[in-house]
Amino acid sequence: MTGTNPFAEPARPPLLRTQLFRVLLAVAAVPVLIVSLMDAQRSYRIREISTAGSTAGRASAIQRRIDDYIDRHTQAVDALARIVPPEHRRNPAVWREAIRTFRENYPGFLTMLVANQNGNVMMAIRPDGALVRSPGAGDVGDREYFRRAMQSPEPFVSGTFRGRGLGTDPLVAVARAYVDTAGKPAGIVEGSLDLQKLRQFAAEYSNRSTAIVIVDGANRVAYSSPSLPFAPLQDLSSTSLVRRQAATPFAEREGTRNYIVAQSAGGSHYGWKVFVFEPASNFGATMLDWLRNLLAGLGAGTLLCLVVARMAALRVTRPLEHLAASGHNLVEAVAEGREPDMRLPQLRAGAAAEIAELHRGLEFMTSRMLASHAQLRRMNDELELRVAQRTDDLNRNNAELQLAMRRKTEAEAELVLFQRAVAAASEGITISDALAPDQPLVYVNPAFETLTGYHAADVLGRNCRFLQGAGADPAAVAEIRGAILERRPCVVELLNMRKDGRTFWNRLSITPIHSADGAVTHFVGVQVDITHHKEIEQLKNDLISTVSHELRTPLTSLYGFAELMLTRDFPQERMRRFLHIIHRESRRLTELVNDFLDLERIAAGRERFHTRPMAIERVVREAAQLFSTGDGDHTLRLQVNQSLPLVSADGERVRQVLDNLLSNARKFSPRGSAIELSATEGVREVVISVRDRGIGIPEEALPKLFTRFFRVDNTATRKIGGTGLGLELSKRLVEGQRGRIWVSSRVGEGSTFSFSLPLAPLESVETVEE
Amino acid sequence: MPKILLVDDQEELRLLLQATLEDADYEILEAQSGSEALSIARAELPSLVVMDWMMPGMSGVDVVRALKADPATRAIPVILLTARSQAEDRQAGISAGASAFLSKPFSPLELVRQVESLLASSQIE
Repeated sequence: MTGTNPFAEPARPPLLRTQLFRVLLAVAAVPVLIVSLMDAQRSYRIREISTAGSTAGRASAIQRRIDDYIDRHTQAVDALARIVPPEHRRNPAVWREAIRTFRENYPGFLTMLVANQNGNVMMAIRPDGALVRSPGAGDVGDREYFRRAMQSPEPFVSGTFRGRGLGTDPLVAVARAYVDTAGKPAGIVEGSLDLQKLRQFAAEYSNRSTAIVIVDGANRVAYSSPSLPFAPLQDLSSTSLVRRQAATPFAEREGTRNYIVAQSAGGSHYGWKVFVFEPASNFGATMLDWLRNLLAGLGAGTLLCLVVARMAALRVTRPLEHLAASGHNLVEAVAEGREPDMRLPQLRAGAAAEIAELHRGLEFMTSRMLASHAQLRRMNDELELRVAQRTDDLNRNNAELQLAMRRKTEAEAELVLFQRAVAAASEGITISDALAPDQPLVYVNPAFETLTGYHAADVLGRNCRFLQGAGADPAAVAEIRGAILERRPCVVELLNMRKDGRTFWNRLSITPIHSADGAVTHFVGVQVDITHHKEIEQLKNDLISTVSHELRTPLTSLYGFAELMLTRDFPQERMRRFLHIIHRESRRLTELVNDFLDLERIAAGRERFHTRPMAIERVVREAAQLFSTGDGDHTLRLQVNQSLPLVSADGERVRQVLDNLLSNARKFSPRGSAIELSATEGVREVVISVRDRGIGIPEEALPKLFTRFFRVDNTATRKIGGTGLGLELSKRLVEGQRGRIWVSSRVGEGSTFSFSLPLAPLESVETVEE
Repeated sequence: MPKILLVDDQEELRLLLQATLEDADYEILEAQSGSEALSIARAELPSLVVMDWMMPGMSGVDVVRALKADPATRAIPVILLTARSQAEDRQAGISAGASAFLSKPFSPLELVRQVESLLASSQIE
């Protein structure tokens, strides 16, 4: 159940003229309905009677056509029996010629035949004219039409029956005896009649829905419409249809349909009867007529009602509606403050007394309302004027206020933007008060906090010099002091100290901030951490001076000894000594340049490593061999595990690393001591180690060992040559083959340098380098 | 006969210095390190010291400072051999008290000239 909608407008009662129209419509429509119903019944009866009459007439007409049909063909058979002269009656050719003539003129014949007195068929001719039986080939002696024809000189017409020869359709036989020269019956002539003609007769007297059944004298069905449930040759003697013998049409139900049935009037020579079935539904047309009449009547009634209602409206309801609308307008106009339209509609001449009274009342009310409305209007105008003045004042004040607020908001937004920009800057930014004693900090940004490790709360109110540690350059500090005193900008680079004591290089720029009158009120300081730049600069300087030193030392020997030999005479032996030195130093210089270039190439990523699966054992043994032949001062102990797995490496590079490590071991271990070279399998790698019993490396030097030009700085190492690049180069070479290099050492006991090479992937084992 | 102290940690450089100066009539002393040079200088009071700047342990400049700090050795002129050629390095050497510089690689003939000139001026004094 749906609840009533509380927002729906209350149902308005229908207008008076609508109500009037409804009543009139009811009054007019009911008689129309009754009259049209009576009319419908009457026309149905008329239709029924006329249909029945016509149906009976058609049945009789069809019956006459059938009689005619049989009569004509009977006469034809009679003529045929007599037309052949007795002396030729045994001659088939004569018969055939005669039959052909008759067949052409009487199309109703199907098969025609001639038989002798014993019933033997002499010949038969089919509907298409073909001769189907030769003389003596068949026998019709048992047929009724043969016996009856032989007994009487008159033609015999059979009832319907099913033939033996052509098809299964029922047919009617017409037979007559012919006589010999003595005047005695000598045989018969027979023609079978085509009952398909009956369908044609029936069709001539019926429409599509009409059904027809035709029975012969024995009440057997000779023809039936397909829509009726009768079979050909069915005996209808016992059915109510035949037994009724009705003279007038009657209602009958066959199958699913109701029919009006009419029987032929009788009088047939052959006792045939025709029944015509007219479906009862054909009377539906009558109902359509009735409906049409009914609608027409209702339409006329409605029109009548409209006219009457219209007249009523003009007379009564229209003036009332106008008055109501005027009242409504008046109320609406007052409610909306409009000037109301006070003109009432003219009272129609001859209006009802009640309406005239209502009109007068409304006129009075209108005039009173007009008066009070005018007064209200005056008061309203005054009030509006005052409100407008007040509103103007208010608007003006409001606009000024808004302008001020907008300016303030813009200024605030700008301020916020600056604050954010300063806070987001990656440089440390500080602001100091230039007017307060000792220029205290009034602002530091987050980058400053990150850079120095001090929180804003720790440093605000203090002078910025807390950053200057012991290592601060006095010249830079003096420059800052002078700039502050003279209120000028300055840029200095100085070593500052973080809160945690760590130092950093600070590029500090100090700029005075001037107020509108030109006085310096603040200093802004910008701090950039340039430690990294400084470190790089230092590294560069170190490199330059180291390279310079490393190059100049051998050059000094070359230059010096060469000049001495050129300018003075020395004994042969000394000359050889000098030349030896020159030769050694030249070689060292060459190695230095080569190593340096190698290193730069690897560092720049230009060096390619041709790693492939290879057996490391052979490379190690070759290196050992080479070492032993070149050095008689040390004994080399080789320890290589049997069946080491293949490694992924560049053989040439591995040799280079091994040469380097072995050469170092030789340089830093005493004569006669042993050097061990081993290769063992580690976790997914092969580890190659070179161990010496030399001077060892101090622990603090170990981390820097693999860096460029680093040398453990003591007298012993100074005596020993070398480029200072070997270990760094070895490291790069090993790492280029995805290996690692490391060292363990103890001063006085010796050092072990090891490097690893990754195992070759399993699937590549077939492509072993041989 | 003037005594000349040659100081270098590298053997072949000492050999070069010695070969350069052996023709003249000098007595040659040699030291392998800064500290050794200092003790020999104090003991022998040479007329001149020719010394490498870059040495492990005490550097050449350290030795110069030590010599100048000692009244006994203060007057001994020192020639510093350096691989450094920058002006600020020379400045540091001069302020330490070195008398002359020779940049590596140097000409042995130039060294001979310097030695002779320094010995001559110290004899005038």
